[in-house]
Amino acid sequence: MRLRERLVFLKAHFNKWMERKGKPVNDFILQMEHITKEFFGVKALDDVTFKVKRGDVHALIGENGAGKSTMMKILSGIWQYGTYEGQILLNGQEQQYRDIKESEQAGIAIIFQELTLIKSMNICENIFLGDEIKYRGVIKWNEQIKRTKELLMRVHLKVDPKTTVGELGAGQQQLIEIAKALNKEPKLLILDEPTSSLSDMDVENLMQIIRELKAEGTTCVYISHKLNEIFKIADTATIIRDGRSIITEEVQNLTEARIVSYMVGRQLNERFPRKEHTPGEDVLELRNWTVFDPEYSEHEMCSKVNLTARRGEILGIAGLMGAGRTELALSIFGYYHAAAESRMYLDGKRVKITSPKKAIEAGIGYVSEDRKHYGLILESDIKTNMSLASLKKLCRHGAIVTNEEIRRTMHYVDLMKVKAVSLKQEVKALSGGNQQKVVIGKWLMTAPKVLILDEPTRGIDVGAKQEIYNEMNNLVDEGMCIIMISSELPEILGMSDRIYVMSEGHLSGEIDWHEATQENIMASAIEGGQK
Amino acid sequence: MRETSKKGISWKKNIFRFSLVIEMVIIFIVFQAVSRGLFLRNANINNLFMQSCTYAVIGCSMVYVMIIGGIDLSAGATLGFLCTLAATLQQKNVDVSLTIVITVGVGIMIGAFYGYWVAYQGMPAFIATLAGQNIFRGLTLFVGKGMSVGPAKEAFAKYGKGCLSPVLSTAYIIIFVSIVFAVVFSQRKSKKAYGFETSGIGIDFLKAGSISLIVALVGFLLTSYKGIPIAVVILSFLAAVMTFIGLNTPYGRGIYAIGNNRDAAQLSGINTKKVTFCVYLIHGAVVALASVIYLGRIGQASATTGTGFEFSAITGCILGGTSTLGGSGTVIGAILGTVIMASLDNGMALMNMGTTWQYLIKGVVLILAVWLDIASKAKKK
Repeated sequence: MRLRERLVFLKAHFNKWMERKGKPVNDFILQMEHITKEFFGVKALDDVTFKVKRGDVHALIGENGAGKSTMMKILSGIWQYGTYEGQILLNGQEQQYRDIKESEQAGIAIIFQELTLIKSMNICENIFLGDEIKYRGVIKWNEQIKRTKELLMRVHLKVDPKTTVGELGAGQQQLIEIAKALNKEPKLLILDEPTSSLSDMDVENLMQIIRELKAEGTTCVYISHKLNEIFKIADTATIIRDGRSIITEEVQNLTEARIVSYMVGRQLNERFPRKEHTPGEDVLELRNWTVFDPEYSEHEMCSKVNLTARRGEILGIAGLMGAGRTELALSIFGYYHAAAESRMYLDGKRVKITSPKKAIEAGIGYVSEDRKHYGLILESDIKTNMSLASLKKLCRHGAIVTNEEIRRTMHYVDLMKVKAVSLKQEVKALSGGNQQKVVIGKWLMTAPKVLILDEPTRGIDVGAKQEIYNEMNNLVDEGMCIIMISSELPEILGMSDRIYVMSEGHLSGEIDWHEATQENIMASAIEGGQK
Repeated sequence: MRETSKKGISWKKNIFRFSLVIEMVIIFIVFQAVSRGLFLRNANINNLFMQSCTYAVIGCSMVYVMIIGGIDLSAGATLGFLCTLAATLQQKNVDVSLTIVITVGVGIMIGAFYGYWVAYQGMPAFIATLAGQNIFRGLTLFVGKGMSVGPAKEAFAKYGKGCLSPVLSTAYIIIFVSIVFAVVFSQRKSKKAYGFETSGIGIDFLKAGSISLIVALVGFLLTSYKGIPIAVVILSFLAAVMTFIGLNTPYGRGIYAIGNNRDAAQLSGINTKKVTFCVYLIHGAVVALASVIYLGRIGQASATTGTGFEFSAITGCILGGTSTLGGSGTVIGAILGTVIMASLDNGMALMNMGTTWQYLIKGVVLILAVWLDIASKAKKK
């Protein structure tokens, strides 16, 4: 082991020496070569090559679902060796990780987008969790506290190591994550969208820390779609799109427009049943709509949103992950509560919706992006699921009229073309597309004026997609107002009549579909970071 | 082809219900053999039914507490307290019907107490009811002053140990059977009115007939001894109401939905807090009803009355197919399960088995029942 380290060291020196002599050698700390990863026959990564130079801050840029997370999961060993094709070289040596522990031992530390800290434990306990300094099985607390203090200094955090993590703000928690990663003394530090929930101050602090780490010789991979941060901090950038690496370029040679065009430069070849709709009067109006994060009260999930939705139109809401689109939908639906100055008008009348129950009564429906957790009772049958939101309408003298329930369910099963053996089939056993049709049918049964579809075609097959698109058109022709949240730009472009773009909780653009392009939507979506 | 496959599915679905009956038959046979014929004698069957009733009544609402994802560890202590309260009222010569009204009223208040903590304050049900267990054990001592209170008046006792006269028993059986037929055939008629496919008239007839046959058989067996216990009549009425609430009201659907997926239920417009609160409220009333029946049968209440009843009710529910994680279960399953638990009690007592063994065996039964539940879920996945 020692010999190997020494060899690496010598090689690095050799390279430096060569560089000084004016013959730059590409000294890569990490090489991911020809990586292909399939999920059930769908290629999430297709022959991706990703090389990171030693000492660089290397930005990895791509839309949601472009394959960034999959790459990082392969690199960290979550998708273990053998489940993908291609090879990973670290310091020129092939790596075959079976789990996170192995990649950590090799010197790779990843900070995932979702914080992994345990809020009820203190900073020191969190940093050393699973990696305690111990002597004969007993934790050496003083040693750990001392080390924690050093780490906190490195991340510019002046708090007591015994502070409970839950008492810290989101930005400070992010810094603790970094401290935890630094404790492993990584050679390669990967930050996955580290600033998605940080304030501007915290972002500035983070940038400074990354610069210092770079000066110490740590290589960083910085995953983000906030271009201003990338221009500030990164040396090199790799852009991936639809599971392929598009380009690797030095940041100084890139412009914002070029990055956007690389991110979205795909051919639009999917067919959408585009139909001209004739929108009617306003049905839903939001004014000054602000929603605070129930967990971090200083964080605004939606800020001062002004939005108008009309009868008989599909209103698309585009934006990147974490832009606050789902939170906006859930707050309209009464699941989150809007701040006091926010106003909602339904058919011109001011309404206050405090619970999903009230929202349903007011004529709002919400199809969740996560049908398994928020849409379906998986263990129950189709009938029970479909009628769940409209049981009151199926009652006579307080009891459900079972046959009326069956009749209504059959109507919507036919309308949505759900393929199932019988109404008593458990929804768990249905395909993703049919499950989604059941959820949409469930909401149609409530006869909403406004139907919010959050990622309506996520994870479903092409046939079911087409059927759902067609049904959306029919519903809009009948006068319904559909608000469609989607991360897939082709879907937004193909179906919407009008497009709002959200970025960091703000509405950053409103575009008519005739003028909308992938480029101007994406530019608007990342604009929030440009303020 | 399709017909046979459909039949196959329904058999598979029903096999669990049958397995309960099979378990019951095995237990009956074992006890019958070991007790040298005492177990299935008329007198003991009557006794068994009466004993089962208290557990089964508690089971009727405990099953919904468990479906919604909660539990009630205090059922035994609450029952003990309510029995002592009712017995004390009886001693003070309070009118029988007023005693019952007060008991049920206090039961509802106790249910509201738990409902408040669990539904509106987000307290884990096992903590709230564990605390309640101690509170009501304490209150039992306070009300009864640590002594046994009784006996209850004859007019009160009839709800626990009274039986219908042979004429009324026969009438009850006839009414029961005709209700079964009426329900089956009105469902059939309604289906036709909606233009749905109905199963053959023969199958419907067979369904109603076989239920009626079992009821009639057991009914006449009981009638030939003392008559059908009034407690059984109360239980059957309660079971029907609770089953109806669970299957045919939005409230009942809410219970199942919350137990399976609280978030999805809330996003479907169900007031999860209110529904949870009501489940505990109803449970309180039902435990009070069980107290009336139990006090009627035993005649007096003491500080230890009701000890371990929650165990039998919970174990019975699990035996009857209630998921320990919530989301599924039926009233009829809970009743069958609690009858199995009561048979164990009864049979082991007949065999003069020591308390040590009784505790051991009942503990093992709970572990096995939960293991069965977990294993069947693991298999499904």
